[in-house]
Amino acid sequence: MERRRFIKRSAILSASSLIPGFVRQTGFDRIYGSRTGKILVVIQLSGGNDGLNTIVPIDNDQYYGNRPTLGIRKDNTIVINDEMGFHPSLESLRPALDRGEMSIVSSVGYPNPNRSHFRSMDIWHSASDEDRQLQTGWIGRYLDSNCPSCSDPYHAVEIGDELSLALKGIRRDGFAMRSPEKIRRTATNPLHVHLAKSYPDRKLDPNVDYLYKTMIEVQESAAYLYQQSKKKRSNGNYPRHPFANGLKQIAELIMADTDTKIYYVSLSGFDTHVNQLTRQNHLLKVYSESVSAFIQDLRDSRLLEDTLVMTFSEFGRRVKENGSRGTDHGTANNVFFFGGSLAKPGLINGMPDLSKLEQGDLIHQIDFRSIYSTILEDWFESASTNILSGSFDKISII
Amino acid sequence: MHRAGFGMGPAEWQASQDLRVEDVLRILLSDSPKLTEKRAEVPDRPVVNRRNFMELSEEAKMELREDDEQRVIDLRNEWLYRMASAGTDVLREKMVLFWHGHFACKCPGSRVAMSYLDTLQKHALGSFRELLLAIAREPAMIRFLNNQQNRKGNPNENFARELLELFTIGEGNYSERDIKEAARAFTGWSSSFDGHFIFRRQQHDYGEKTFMGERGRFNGDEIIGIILAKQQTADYVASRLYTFFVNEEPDAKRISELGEVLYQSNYNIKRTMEHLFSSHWFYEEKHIGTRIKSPVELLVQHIKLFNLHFENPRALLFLQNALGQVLLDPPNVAGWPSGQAWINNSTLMLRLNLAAYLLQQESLDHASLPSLKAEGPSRIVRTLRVRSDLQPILNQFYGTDFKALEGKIKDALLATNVAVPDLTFPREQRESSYARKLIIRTVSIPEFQMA
Repeated sequence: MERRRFIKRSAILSASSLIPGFVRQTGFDRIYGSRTGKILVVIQLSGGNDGLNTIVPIDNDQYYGNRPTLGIRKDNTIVINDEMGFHPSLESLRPALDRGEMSIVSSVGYPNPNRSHFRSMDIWHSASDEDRQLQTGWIGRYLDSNCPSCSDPYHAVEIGDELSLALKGIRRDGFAMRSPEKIRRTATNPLHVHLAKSYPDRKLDPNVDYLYKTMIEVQESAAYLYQQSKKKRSNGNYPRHPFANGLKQIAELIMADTDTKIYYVSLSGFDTHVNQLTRQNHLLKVYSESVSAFIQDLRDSRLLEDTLVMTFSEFGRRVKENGSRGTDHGTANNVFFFGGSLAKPGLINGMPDLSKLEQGDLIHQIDFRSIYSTILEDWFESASTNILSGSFDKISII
Repeated sequence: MHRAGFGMGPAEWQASQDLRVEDVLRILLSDSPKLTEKRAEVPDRPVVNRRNFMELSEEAKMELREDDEQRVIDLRNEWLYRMASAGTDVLREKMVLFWHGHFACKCPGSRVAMSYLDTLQKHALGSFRELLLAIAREPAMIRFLNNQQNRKGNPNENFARELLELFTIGEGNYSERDIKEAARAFTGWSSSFDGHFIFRRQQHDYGEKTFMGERGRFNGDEIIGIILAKQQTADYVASRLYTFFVNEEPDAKRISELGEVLYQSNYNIKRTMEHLFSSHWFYEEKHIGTRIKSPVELLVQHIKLFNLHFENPRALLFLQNALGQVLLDPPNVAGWPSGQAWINNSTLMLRLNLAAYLLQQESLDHASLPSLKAEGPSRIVRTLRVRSDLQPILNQFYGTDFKALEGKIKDALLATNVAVPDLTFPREQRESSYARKLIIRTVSIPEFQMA
């Protein structure tokens, strides 16, 4: 955050933050501004979800040839059409698909795919080329330079303890929390409110300065998010799982008309080198039931049209299964969208081409940055070339 | 001491009053008497082999699993307390923590975790070559990186990839082909059901491999030999040491100086650390108090300063989790991202409130501001069930003039006392609890997070 503005704000904060009632009365609403109406929810499947066993190419002999033990037989899938079947655990997403609230983009990746989890995840987060390392994320850069109204950390909220690279900018960062309740509890220590007052007068080591800034921002954002989280209660049918709780919290914040544009949440455990079937069954079930409850919540509140949900994973998995009933790291993968404003529900492009592989892996057809550029330009009505350092063809998602 | 260890405890301030840097170094690097002393073993459970495990009822299996989970928790606790009470052995403990981040491993089960830790402990200040060879044989690592499944004709590349990318030479210095060939050399490196290394001859690929331009019927040890013969490997390890011990911001010149020492000494870790700590640049102002402590460092320092003892065995697990670093459970094989990555709103808040939570301090003592007392700490402390003893630390400041007290406490507790805010509130009564209050406040300010 810009230092001068920040100092001004922290002065307001230190006087009022301990008394929530006071916050409301002094017109905080004006300071927070109003949101644009468009909300993005990013769901990250960490570990590299096996896309081929998620959206199954049921008419493809090469698929079954490469997956003698892992291939899902056509009659075990949820058959969508002649060429495509859903993994059985995706059953609860079928209604969304039928309603036109789900789109699938297949074969999404980038040139010279990197098969390291960390590197490939960084590439997705930072939207960099394979051979470039960036210290900021695509959402962080959007907050930094293309979203004038996104001056507070809570404009991009991640559910979890750690803030992902995607939400880190140079001047602005997103806000990570397990829950509004938890973060508020720690944000109101009197000593730290006292310290916040003397902050503007001191010159600090960059890391110490970072700690002070973060501390003051937390005090401020925690008060706001906690207040918002108390406004609405979801009665949705979410499974019992931390990921589901996260989505539920997001639904409640959206329903309370919270001034947060971007939400970020992850489900991990998809690195299925060994005994993939049981693990993926379980994870996809958690995923689909949670997402299904989430979009139901938003549909019921008539907010689904303002919401776009995107799901990605850092890479797909190798076409040929390995010797331990699992799959190794691969390349291109599916990206899913949910929402009430989709341009082309269902499968947007063709199923992956299994006849042309490179080192046993899929060749990407769509650059992941095409997806980002579509979201930035068509959803957030922002420029994209400065964020993605280049121009990427948009695809018809929204 | 902040950078080579976990900050000083009350006893160490006393002892260190008259020491020069060279003396401290000599103590830190001298062969530790403690190493030969076997640490208090977690009592062994009866050996279960695959056959009689399979015959157990589901309930009995579940009980064994829960029992083992508890053992891993005990092991972590024991490790944290050991770091806090390391005394002159503190550098070795700090190195063990460093190597745990370097050879990051989620340890599946107490038995393999113990063996992995013993290996880190044994070679922490020894030879990196020996350490690497031993780690490649650790059942914990073999299982974590799926080398159990790495078989001739059906290779699993996981271990080979991380060996090159994260443990030794670093990205950009090898090809995809090198990974495939290295994976073949480690086929058959496996572990038994009860957690011992075994070489499964019939699963090993004895064929010819081409690895980093060399050709031969290489086995795993020989692959490691080829990797270590490259200067880039020493440089990579040196860069990890530099960013851990000196500054997050890499300095190519210093790193290559350090890499040279490591390489020339045939990967002697102790000699490399000696060089590091004897270099004038290690003590430059720009490197002091600029590193954000890791959660484990912070926790250990609290245990040490306040003689903490957790009666709830899960308490320390809860804290590690909430602060973002659970021993034996790194986020992935790349270890923990460090520096500002430790910090986000929620971890920072817990860090800044840690002493208040742990000591059930009557809030941070501003009686007029009640919120902390009312909600946060009391609930958490009840479940943590932590005992503390502040007497030793208070004794260090006993008799100090009230006017000099704040300065003295800050000098003792903070890595640097430059531009630290005034912690005595205007018109505050300086009564007998003043020292205690100042200590708690000092460890609760952002500056205390720095080493």
